[in-house]
Amino acid sequence: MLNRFKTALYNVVGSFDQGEGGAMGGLGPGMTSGLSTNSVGGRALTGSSKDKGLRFPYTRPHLLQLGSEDEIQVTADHAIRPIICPRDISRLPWNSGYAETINAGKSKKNEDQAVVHVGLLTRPLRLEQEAPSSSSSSRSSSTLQDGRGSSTGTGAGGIKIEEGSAEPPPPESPQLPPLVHVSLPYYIFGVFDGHAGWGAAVAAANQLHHLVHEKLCDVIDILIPDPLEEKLQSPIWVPEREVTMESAVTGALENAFWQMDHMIADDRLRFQLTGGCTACVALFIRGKLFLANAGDSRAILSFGGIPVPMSFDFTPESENQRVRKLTPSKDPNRLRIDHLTNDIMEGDGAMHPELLGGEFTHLDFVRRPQRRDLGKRVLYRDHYMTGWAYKTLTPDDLKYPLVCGEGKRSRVLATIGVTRGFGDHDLKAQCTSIPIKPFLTPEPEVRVLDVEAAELTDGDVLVLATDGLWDITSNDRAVSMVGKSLSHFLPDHHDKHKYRYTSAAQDLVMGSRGKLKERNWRTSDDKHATIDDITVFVVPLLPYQEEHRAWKARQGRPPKGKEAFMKETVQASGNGLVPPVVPPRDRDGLECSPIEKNSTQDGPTTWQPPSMEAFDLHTQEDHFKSEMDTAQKQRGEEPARGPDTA
Amino acid sequence: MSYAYLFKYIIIGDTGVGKSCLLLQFTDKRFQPVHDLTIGVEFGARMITIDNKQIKLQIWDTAGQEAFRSITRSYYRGAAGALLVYDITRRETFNHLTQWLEDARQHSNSNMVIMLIGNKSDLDSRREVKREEGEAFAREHGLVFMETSAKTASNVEEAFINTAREIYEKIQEGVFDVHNEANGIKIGPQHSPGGAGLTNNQGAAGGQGGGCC
Repeated sequence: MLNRFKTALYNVVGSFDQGEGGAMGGLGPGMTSGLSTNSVGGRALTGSSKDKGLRFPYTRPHLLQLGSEDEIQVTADHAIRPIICPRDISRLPWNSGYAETINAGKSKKNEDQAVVHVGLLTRPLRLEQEAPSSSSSSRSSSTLQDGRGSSTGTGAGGIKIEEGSAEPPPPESPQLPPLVHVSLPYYIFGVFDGHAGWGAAVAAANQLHHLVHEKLCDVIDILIPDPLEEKLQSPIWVPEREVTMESAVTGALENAFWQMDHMIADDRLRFQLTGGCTACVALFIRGKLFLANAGDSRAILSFGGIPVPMSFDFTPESENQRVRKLTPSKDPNRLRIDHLTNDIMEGDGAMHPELLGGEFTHLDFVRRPQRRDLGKRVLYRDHYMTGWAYKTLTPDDLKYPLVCGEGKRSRVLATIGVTRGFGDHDLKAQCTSIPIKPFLTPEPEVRVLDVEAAELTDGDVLVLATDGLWDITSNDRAVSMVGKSLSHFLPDHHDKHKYRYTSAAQDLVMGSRGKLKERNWRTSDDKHATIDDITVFVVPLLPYQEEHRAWKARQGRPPKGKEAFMKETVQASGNGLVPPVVPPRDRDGLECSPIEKNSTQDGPTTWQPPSMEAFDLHTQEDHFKSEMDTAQKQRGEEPARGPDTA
Repeated sequence: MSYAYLFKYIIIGDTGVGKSCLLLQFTDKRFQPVHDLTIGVEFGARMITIDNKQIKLQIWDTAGQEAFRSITRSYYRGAAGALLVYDITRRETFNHLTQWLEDARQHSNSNMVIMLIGNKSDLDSRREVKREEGEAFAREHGLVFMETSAKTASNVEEAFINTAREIYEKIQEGVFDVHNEANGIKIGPQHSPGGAGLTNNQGAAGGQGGGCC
């Protein structure tokens, strides 16, 4: 019954530092940031493994800023299912929308989790001074840029001069070009849909973005290439394959996903950390949107009023073949699963029938065969088939199918309804001791959108949501609902305009949650609404495009030798438009990394991306908390927006 | 902290009448002259004492804006008390009361105690709605009435506490079924044998293995 929800005492909250999982270093070469490299310390045991404390306490996403246990309890009202949105929306980049609601009682806690993270990658580079008229002179003149791609130069913005003045370079390196710190901002939005407990979802929401940061740092030489390096190398050394920025970011995401799963595997041995979760993560970096998805959450674009899928739903049904491929073999004897990592140890190819525990069959039948069908010809397919064929039914074929059911009801081993994500290391098939984890994978599919090149309006958004939304609301409907919500807020209502994406997120949640009629949750057109948790982000694309273009223009001479990039940059900054010279932000009272502090002394030549003002710029060392504190100090200052420079 | 009862309240009324400020004044005893638009719903909680019993008020502060109306409506249900607020310096907020009341009656349980509040009584010089008009409206619709000022805190305590007292009396009279949470009343942990002593244990919360998703 819905009303049976009883108040739990959240008596352990507060005993852990929320940001504890944050510092887990391993900075890539050339990184200078405040991120602690004390990876072990960050995950130190807080108790002996015998009394297994919680890895993370239950909480709602930090972006909601729910301060008290009372508030967290209110969000868990299964009878009302309040739609919760952030208290201060300026904490989300670009006034993005977020809304969530809890399930109708199927689990005590809301097992969806979410994260927003604003980060900055910084690489110190010695930029060459090509001609006297270019960067060095722009430093001393400090005002004018001549519009050439190479000259927006070191004085402007994101490229910061350490000394911050027109003084000569440091005495110890009179021959070297000045050292500049090139900073590249990135943004992460993620949703994690937990099942069989909230542990994995909370762990992912607390840690995955740090892993992504770490992996991005590993490839910073590709994300922020050093022009000098390229110059030295290019004539002699030709790489076998070109590694693009896109593939480096994709690799970083893939790596982070796998490592997240391994961390949960590790941590669960020492902490209470139960359940599993899907992960759907949007990463904005270098003018592109990377969408990494593992599970059945979904991201779509509302692009000119048309839905464009940015992810693929991984369900037992859609992954039928991958899952079944894991098992068939004639010789099961030499295989084993490493129970620590859940890796399948190679022994006999990649086929592992013992995973079925003798209770399931990997064959797929058009319809579930029954005893009376024995000896008859039935349509089936093996793991190597996409089409169907006949076989004569044997008793072995009567075992329960490895993958069964359709759509939302599809299951692996009759138990689990998702096939990708994190956690579930101890999950067994119902009523058996057959481990399920070998059939699951944290591997994301990564899709890329070129935000920079797209023609965007402020109605173009990314909708990122857990399956609670999509079970009820189709892509088409979501797009039309977003359009309708946004239209309620006219551009001339400046004070209210910023609420429009939040309003859209709320309306989407409302659409799938519906209203309680008698004892059932019904949609507005009186169909079944979902009883699942719902979590929705609505992220506008245009502000990031503007911001990225401004960032690129500020880079001036791009710190990369790639021709394509040069060309783009010239287009962006070669039309005589240069970013306005804006006084540096007042950073008093803010914790900054030394680099950032120095940069403020650059005087009027330093130009920070204006819309970053509301956010934290030193996230390498963050806990999310400190990030939030910083944002709080900035609260109320509506960021000024620079003109689109392209 | 333990309590005998928990009462759920909602605060409703047009945008800008001071709903969030009333809540802030009641829970934090402070006034915030410039308040951001409430989007969706906000919460506050405070413990009060009635008849020597600790009563926890859990207050849901809703968005007044029309765009959020369909969402805020769903919070009426499950509330034991409602503060219906208008602004004595803006006649139109008074004129909309009928509509708010209709909405509330339609979407809430029939026993919900509704307190009519004319807020901003400190701005008497700009008054557009007479106290008598408020009283008349309340009488006509069977509401309790009070003029308050979230700024000076005048009558704010009373508004929340009188509402609670009325709910408490209805419980004593047996009008409210306290065992049905849909009425917006919960019996405190020490009074409810089943609800006490739950620990926040993941195993208990999520269950291990077995049917998931």
